[in-house]
Amino acid sequence: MNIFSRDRKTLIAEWWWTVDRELLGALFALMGIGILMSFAASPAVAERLKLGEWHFIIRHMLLLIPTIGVMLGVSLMTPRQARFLALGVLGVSMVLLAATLVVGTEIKGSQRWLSFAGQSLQPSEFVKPAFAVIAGWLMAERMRRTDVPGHAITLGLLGMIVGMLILQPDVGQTVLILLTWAALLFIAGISWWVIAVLGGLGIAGITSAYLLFPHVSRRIDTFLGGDSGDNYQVEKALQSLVEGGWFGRGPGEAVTKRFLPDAHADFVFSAAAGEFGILFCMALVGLIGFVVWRGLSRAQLLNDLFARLAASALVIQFGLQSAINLMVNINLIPPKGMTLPFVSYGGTSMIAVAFGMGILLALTRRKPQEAIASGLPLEREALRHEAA
Amino acid sequence: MSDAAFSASGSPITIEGVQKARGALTRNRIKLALLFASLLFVVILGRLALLAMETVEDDFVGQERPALTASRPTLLDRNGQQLAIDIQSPSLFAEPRNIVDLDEAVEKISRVLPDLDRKFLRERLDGDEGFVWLQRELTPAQQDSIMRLGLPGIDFVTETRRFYPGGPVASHILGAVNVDNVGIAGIEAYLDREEVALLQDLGLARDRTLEPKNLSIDLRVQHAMHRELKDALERYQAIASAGVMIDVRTGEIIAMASLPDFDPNDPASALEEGRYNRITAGTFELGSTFKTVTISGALDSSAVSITDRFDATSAVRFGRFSIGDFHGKNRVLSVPEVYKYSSNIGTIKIMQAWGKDNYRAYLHKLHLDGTPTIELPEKKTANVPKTFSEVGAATASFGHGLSVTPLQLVAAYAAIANGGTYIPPTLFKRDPIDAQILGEQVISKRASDDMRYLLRLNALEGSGRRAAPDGYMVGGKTGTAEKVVDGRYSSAKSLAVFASVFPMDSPRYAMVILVDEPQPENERSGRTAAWNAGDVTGRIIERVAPMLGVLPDFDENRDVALVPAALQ
Repeated sequence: MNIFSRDRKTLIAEWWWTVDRELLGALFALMGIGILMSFAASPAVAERLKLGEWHFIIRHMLLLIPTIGVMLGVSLMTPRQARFLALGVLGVSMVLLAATLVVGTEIKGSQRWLSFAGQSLQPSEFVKPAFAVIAGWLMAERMRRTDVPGHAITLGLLGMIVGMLILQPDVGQTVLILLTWAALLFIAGISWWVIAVLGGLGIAGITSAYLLFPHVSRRIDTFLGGDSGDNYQVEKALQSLVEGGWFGRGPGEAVTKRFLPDAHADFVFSAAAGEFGILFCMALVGLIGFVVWRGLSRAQLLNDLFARLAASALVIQFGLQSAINLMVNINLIPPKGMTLPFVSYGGTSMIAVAFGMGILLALTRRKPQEAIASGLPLEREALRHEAA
Repeated sequence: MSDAAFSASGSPITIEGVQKARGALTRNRIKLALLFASLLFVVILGRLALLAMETVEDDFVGQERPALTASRPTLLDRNGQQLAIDIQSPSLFAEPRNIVDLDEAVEKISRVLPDLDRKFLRERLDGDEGFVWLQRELTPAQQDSIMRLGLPGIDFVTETRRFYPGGPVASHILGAVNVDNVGIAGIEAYLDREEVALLQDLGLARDRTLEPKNLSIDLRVQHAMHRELKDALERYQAIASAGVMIDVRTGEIIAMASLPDFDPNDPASALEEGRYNRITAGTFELGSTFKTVTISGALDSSAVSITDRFDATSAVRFGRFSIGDFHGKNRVLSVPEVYKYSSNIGTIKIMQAWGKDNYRAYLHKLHLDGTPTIELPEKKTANVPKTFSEVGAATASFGHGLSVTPLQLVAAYAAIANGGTYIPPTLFKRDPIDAQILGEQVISKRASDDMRYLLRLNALEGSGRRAAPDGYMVGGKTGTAEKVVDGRYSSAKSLAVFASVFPMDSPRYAMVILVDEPQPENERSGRTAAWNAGDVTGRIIERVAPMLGVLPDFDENRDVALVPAALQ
C-alpha cells in the first residue's frame, strides 16, 4: 500500500487521496453490473448469431481491461492535460467521423462505423465527450474574457458535428450532442429568453427530423401507433420487463430475452430484467442516478469555471444517454441507437464512456490549493462562495 | 444576467465580484439541472414500478389447461367394475411466437412424427400465435423423442380423455363427454351439473384424482340385458328394444339398456335418429301391463276384494264406443280370472267399482304421472290426463290413452310387489336403510300379497308362461299396445311390453322389457308381447338370477304359499 502512502508525493498516492472515490466506486459498480447483465442477456444473442454462448460475455470482460485502463489513465491527468487530450480526441474523432461518410460501413441503414483490421469503430461515440469538454472550455473562456469568441467557435464545432451526424444519419447522437450543448449554455447562465428560443428550435429540429428522415418518422409513427407496425424490439423489451416482475425469474429462466435482437447492446436493460427483476433494475437506475447526483454535486463545488462547466457537461451527457436508453427500454420514447454506459456491450461506446468519465474524475479531483487558499475543507469553501 | 455583469465592466479585465456572481449563477444552474435530472429518473423509476405491477398474462397455464386436464371421477358399477375411466395422454403443442428457428423445428419434429405433413407443420409453426396444437395424444415414446429435441416453443400438455371400457354396454346410463371433458349426456352430464363443475371451478379437480363413484348398475346383468335386447332386435325384426331392472327393496337400477344405442367413446354416434333412451326419455301406452296397477289399487281400497266377481259377458259401451276383450271369455270372471285372461271388460268393471277419481289419484301416488325420478338428464314427462272422463278412465285402466315412461312402470311394479312401498329409482348405490326412509307406503301389505299371487298366477297359467323359467318364481304381465297410425290403432304395429317381478315369494327384482314393432319370430309364433318381450324376459332372468343370488328352487309349495287365505 505504500504507493498510496502520503509520505512521499507519488502520482498514484496523490491521485488516490484526491480522486472522488464515491464516483469512482459507483462507476466500477456499474461495470460490475454490466458483466452480470451480460450473462443474462448476451448468450441468446450469441447463439442466434451462431457464435459461442460465451462470445459476448468474454469480449465484454476483456473490453473492461482497456476501459478501466483508459478511465484511470485519463483520471490521473490535470485539468489542463485533460483539456489538451480532449482537444486531440475531438480533432481525430471529427476527422474519423467525416471519414465514415466516405468509407463507412453501412449497418441497419446508417453509415456510422469505420472498419479496419477486423475491428469496427464508431467515431461519434468519441466526439460526444470530447465535444462536451471542449465546449465547456470555450464557454468558460468566453465567460472570463469577452474577447474570446467562445460561442461562435462552439457553434461552429456543433454545426460541423451535427451536420456529419445527420448525414450518417444518426439522430440519437445528434440529439444527445445538441442537448449537451444546450445544457452547457444553460449552466453557463444563458438568459431564459434564449432558452425559450433554443427550445423552440429544438422542437422544430425534432419535427424536421420526423419529416425528413423516413426511419425516424417510422419509429415515431410506430411508437405513437401502439403495437402496430414493426416495433418488435420494444414489444419484446416490454414483455421481458413484465415477465420478470419484481423479483425476476432467476438466472437462465427468462424466455422473452431470446427474442430481443439487441439484447446484449441497446436493450440489455430489459433483457436482464426478465431474470433479475424490476427491483434489480431500479437499483441500477438508482446507481446511475447516484453517478449523476454525485457528479453534478462535485462539479458545483469546483472553483475553476472550465472544470465546473466541463464536468457538468460530461455528467449531463452521461445522465442523458443513460436516461434515453432507459426510456427507450421502458417504451417512454421511441427507439434510438443509444447504449447504456458501461453496461451495454460495445467496444467503442465503452472506451468512449471511459474516456469521458476519466476526464470527469480528473476534473473533480480535490485540489489542495483550493482547500488551502481558505484553510477550509472544500465543501465549506463552496458555501462561503455562495454566501458571498 | 451574466451578460449584464460583463457589459457593466466593459473591459476584458476580470473583477473579483464578477467572478463570484458567475460562480453563484452557474452553481444555481447546476442545481436546477440536478433537479431536472432527478425528475427524469423518478419518472423512469415510476414507470418501472408500474411495469412490475403488471401481471403476466400466461395465456396457457391460466386458460386452457384446466379444461384440458380436467379429471372426472371414475365410474364403477355396484361391484367395483370400471364403467368410465380417465386416461391420460401427452399432447404436443407449440408456441409459434417462441420458436427461434422455424426450419430446425420443422425438420426435427417431422423426423419424430413422420405422419405429420411438413407443409402443415410449417404453416402451424410460422407466425406469432401463443398456442397451436400439433398432435393430440402421443405415445410416451414419441413424447420422449420430442423432449430430446430440446426445441424451444414446443411443449406437451397431459390431456385427460374419458374412456368407456364397455363401449356401448351402458351407453344410455353413462352418457358421454365432449372434447373438453364436459359431460353432455347421462350420468356424466348429471355429475357435472351436480359437483364436478363446482370442483373444477374451485380448481380442485385439476390434478387430483376424484373419489370414484359407484353406480347401482351390475355390469354383469347390464351386459346380459344388453345382449338379450340386441338379440331381440334381430330375432323379432323390431325397430327398438329396451329394458330396465330395478331392485324392489332399494329402488336401485340394476340394469338399463335401450337399443339402438351408441358408443360413448364416439359420442357423435348418439346423434343418429332413434337412439334415445326409451326407458327414461320415451313415453308409451304400455297396454295391459297397466291392469296390474289398476287391480292393485282397487284391491287396496275396500271397494274390491280378490274374491269379487265381475260380469264380462259383453262389451262395455260408452256412447258409440265399445270395448271388448282380446281373449273374450264372455262370462262372469273372478278377479284372478280377469287378470289371467287380461280382460279389458273385467278391468274396467273393477276400476268402475273403485271409482275413476280414486284411480287417477292412485296413479299420482304411484308416481305414474309427472316426470320420472332419475339422475339422468334425458327424461320425458308422462302424458296422463289431469282428470279422467268415463271413457278415458276406462281405457286408462288397461293402459291406453295415457303414456308413461317404462321407468315409471317398473318403479310402480316394484312398489306393488315389495309390500306396497314406493321407492324412487336411482342410478347410484343406495343403502337399504336409506331406501326405507325414502319409501312411501302406497298400498297395503295385504293388497301387495294379493298382487304377488296374481302376478305369479299369470306367469303360471296366463300370458306370462313364456317369461317364467322354472325355479325362479317369476311373476309378470304382458302388454301389447297397438300403435296409433294415422289416428287409428294399427294391428300390424304394436309395442310389446312385459313387466315382471322375481322371485314372487320374496320379491327382489322388477323388470320391464319393451320390444317396439316386433314381427313374429316364425310362422308358428305370434306377435303379442308374450312371444317376444316375454321370451326376452325369460332369457334374461335365466341368465342373471343366479348372479344376483336368486337360486333356482323347484319346490311347488312356494307357489301354494302365495295363494291368499280368502281363496284357499
